[in-house]
Amino acid sequence: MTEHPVIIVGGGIGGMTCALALAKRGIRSILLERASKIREAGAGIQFCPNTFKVLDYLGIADSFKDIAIFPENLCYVDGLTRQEILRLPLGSRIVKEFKHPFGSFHREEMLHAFVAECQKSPLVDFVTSARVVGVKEKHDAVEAITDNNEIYVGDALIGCDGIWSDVRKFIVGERTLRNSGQIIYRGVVSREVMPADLCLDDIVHFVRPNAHLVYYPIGKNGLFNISAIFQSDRLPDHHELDGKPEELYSWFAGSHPKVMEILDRVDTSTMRPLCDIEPMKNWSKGRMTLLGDAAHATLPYMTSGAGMAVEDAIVLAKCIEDHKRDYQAAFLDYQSKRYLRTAYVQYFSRAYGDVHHSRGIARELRNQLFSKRTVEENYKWVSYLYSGIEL
Amino acid sequence: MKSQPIIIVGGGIGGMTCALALAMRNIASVVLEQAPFFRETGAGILLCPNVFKVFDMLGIKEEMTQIASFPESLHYVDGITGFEFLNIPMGKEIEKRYSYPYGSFHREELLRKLVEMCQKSPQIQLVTSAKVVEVFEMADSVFVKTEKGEKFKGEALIGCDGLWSIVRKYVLDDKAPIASGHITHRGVVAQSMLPEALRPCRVIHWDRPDAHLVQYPIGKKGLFNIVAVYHSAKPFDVDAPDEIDEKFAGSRPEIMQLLTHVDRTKRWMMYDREPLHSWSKGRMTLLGDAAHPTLPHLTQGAGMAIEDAIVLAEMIAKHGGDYTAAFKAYEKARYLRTAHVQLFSRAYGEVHHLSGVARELRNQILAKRTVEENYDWLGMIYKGIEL
Repeated sequence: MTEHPVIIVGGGIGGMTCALALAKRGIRSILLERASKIREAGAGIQFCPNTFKVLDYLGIADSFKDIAIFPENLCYVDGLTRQEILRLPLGSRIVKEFKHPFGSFHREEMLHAFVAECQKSPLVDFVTSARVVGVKEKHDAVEAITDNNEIYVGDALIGCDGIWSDVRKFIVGERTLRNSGQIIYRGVVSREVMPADLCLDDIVHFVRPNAHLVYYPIGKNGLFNISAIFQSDRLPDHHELDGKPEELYSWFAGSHPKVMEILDRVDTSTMRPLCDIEPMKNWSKGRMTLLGDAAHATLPYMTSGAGMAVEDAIVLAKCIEDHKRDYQAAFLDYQSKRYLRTAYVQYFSRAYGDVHHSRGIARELRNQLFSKRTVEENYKWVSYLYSGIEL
Repeated sequence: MKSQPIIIVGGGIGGMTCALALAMRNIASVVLEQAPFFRETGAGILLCPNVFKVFDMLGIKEEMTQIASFPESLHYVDGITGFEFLNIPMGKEIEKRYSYPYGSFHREELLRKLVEMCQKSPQIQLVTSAKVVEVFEMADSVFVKTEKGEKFKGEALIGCDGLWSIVRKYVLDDKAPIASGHITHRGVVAQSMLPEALRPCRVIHWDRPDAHLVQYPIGKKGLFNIVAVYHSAKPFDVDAPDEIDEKFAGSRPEIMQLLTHVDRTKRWMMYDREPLHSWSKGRMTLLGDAAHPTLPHLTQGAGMAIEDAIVLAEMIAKHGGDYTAAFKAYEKARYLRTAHVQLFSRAYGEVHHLSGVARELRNQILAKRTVEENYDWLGMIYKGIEL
């Protein structure tokens, strides 16, 4: 009997981590990426300690630490008054608490680190310009058909193709995404362009009624990511749209002048509606399964979309080994181990968004309750997520 | 010139406590109750340590302790599987932690005790069959007229007349209370009628998709209160006795048995309001549900009214006749705490009724919490207020 590789659809963070996790257990894979070269949408990305825990387990944490910057604090500041309401020390303190760091990256750079790791492995093949348009499940294999009519045969197929997943349609059917009504604008600027009196070693969230703005350093090149998000009263159903600066500014009206100063630095040419998926328990079918955003896309407010994908990857690889490559059993086991933790991130990200955007007395109550919390209480609060999974 | 009493509209738990709190500071009041006698709807009531703390401040803790029973624990159980995801020791443990107990009362008895204490006070005049129909504010006093045509004059007026407050109409220009869609049926059952396992002095919440049921002891009567709540999207119609069966179908046998004790002929919609910063105007203010009605899921409706009472009395005494200033200080001291109860009660209601993956996640997260974590969580409210 010939053994086929596992087909991984999507060459993003999830797909590449999955390929590396499989390789670690001696399982060959082929990555099919629709784009002509590997790229990531968005500029900055944060890895919480649980994500570094996975990279460490895969033996690649150092490559990532080399290109990461480690912010000193995670701060929440009221966007109307500029009063600080919460501060979670990161830096060396978080390493002491959770054994792994909290790091921030330039997405493109971070992705190249993954590519380099995949290239080192003889068990990982990479194909670009290959969009999967059809799948065929056979008795002992699965076929992926691409848009240029090539057919790839695999022992199994893993859809790591993100929130707009093609593979998801073949597994759970047309499942519409849930549009949160929240719209994001982003910007990447260099240190010199940031207002001089801001603390640039921290991740800072300015939260205000119906909107919030976050800035944080990315990578080691002195760049900053700025995200401005508001809860709109409409539901544009496109992936990416031309920006409407006047709409953006109208939602931020009345913010503290410092917030407006940072807002002036976002790129107003493009906006994206933020979507997620209703949490589900079953995202596998026979020899096919999903991983990361394809299975459980989340709003970004716990900065854990990528973290959940890399956790998925090593749990999945372990299940495949545990079930001696009985893929159907492995996938059922994998999803049963993952659905509650990923649902946690999905539900709580929604709740965080609502808390960020609190208005009126709810906002005052939030500020009061957060301000009263001790650092220990805050660490306790994030510990379920940051402690990571058992490896 | 002899000073006028303060007029308290509404002779419920809030109004009576307010009269007692004022009397303690030598301030006279007249309590106007619309009904021909003092009474409470609903059979049981749970009062948390923060409320006993106020009873202590008022010097009535002993009297209250005599008529209370003290549940030994608080439980949350999945109403489909029977999985217990929270078990919080109350009794001596909670008293050790917050200095005051967690007690259960018969509502009628609690009110009777408060009425008795009011009757003993020379500062308090109680008037029944006095439904307020009109309120006038003057430069230095407030007048009210009752349905029977009686007139009362006071230095100030406190509306303790509950969710459907009449006084609120004179103070605030706002809309009707908000219907939550949570509908309740109630029942009272003798302890001996309950299955053996459900007889201990405990508070048990049975949570299931779209509905929950709470059972708790009523004072020292050997009775239990059964409160069944479900969420309905249908328009509220007082005669819909079957929706309860539909909503509770597939529940644990214990729930099905407890449901046989609720009154199917009567159901109540649960209401609340959006939190406000201010609920006073000149010489008039509001207290308890009249100011900040809440859903009952934190069992703090009466608790907030009782806390309001002592803070309000304190502020009135402190501001020596400047009611505008006193009421402002009172609102400022109270609005965030009462908003906390209102907003978290809404969230608790949602959490009770979760379904699907969210329900599983709730059960898992709460089951993992330690007793200490649960006490810390309850502590936000249970620690009570400082004067």
